[in-house]
This record gives sequence, structure tokens and C-alpha cells, in this order.
Amino acid sequence: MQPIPQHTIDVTITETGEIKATVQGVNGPTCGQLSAFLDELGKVVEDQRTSDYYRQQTVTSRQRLTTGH
Amino acid sequence: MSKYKRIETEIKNEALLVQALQDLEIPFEQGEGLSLYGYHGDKRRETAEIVVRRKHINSSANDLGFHRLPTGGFEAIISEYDSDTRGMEILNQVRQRYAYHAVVAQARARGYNVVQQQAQGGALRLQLVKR
Repeated sequence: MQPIPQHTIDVTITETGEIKATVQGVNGPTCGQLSAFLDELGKVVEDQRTSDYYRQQTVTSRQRLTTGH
Repeated sequence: MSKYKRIETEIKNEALLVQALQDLEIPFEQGEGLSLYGYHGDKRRETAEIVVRRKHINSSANDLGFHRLPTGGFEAIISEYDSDTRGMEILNQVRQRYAYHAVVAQARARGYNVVQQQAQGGALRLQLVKR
């Protein structure tokens, strides 16, 4: 199993109790899984990949640098 | 920024719902199948397991109820009239506070530290940092 990458999730809870979550610091398919635990709190009404999602190559090389392999 | 999602919160945890009401200092009653009353003092058809009596909302409101569904979640019972008045305002405050507790509990259970951020307008902001 791959280690969980360092990341943060920014959460906004609106005045009507809606949850908006953005995963920061991770690109590629992994980041979708990282906020999946919040799905259990209700009904997902919007789910978007932003442009960084597609920058997999960049994150792979950065990970190599930081993990020292 | 890499992934954004929006979730309509569902009230599923009775303890967190109670916590939300207590935080907001809204008096409530808790019990099985409590009767709900309308603004004339008339008994309504619906029952609920958690009830905010109309005297704590305003004189022209119906009771606000949270009825437990067979799935274990709760649905809010609010009259059509109250849906654009003080009753709805209270319901939204409860929903927001409940969502706050639900996110914090879920995040901590998954190994995140929860950092409070400055509120933006009426919205609450949290940063979840993986431990």
C-alpha cells in the first residue's frame, strides 16, 4: 500500500449546513479518495476535479525528491 | 487545489444533533414519538424524537421536529409557513452546527487534526491536517 501523501482538506460549512471540501497538496486520482470519508456525512451534490488534478507528472517527481528515493 | 466537492449534510447522529442544539442554547425535548403542535396549539399528525417547542421559536410558529427515519437518520419537520421565517433560521443554525460536529468527529476518527479558521460571513471554516 502506498503511504498517504501529506495534504490538508479545507472545509467550509455554509449557513445552511452544506459542506464544501477542497483537498490541497495532492494531485492525481489519489486526492479524490482522500476526501471520500466526508461523503458519509450526506449526499454529494457536486464533485469536481480542478486543473491540478491532471498534474500527476509534477507530483510524482516532487514525491521522489521529498522521499529521497 | 486539486479536488472540490459539495455535500448536503444529512442528520444521522442523534448525539451530535443534541450537541448542536445545546451549543446554540436552544431548549428542546427528547423522547420517542413526541407530539408536535401547531401555532393554534393544535396537535399535528406528525411526531418527532427531538422537538423545539414553538414558544422557543416565535408565537406564530409551529413546533420544529426531528423525526427519526427507519434508516436511522433524521428528517426535519417544519411547517410550510415557517420555512421562510424564524423556524427556518433556527433549522439552518442547527444544520450548520450539526455539520460542524459531524466533520470534526469524522476527521478526527480518520487521523486529522482540526484547525479552526476565521469564519467567513456566516460560514464556518476548518482546515483538516493529516497527522
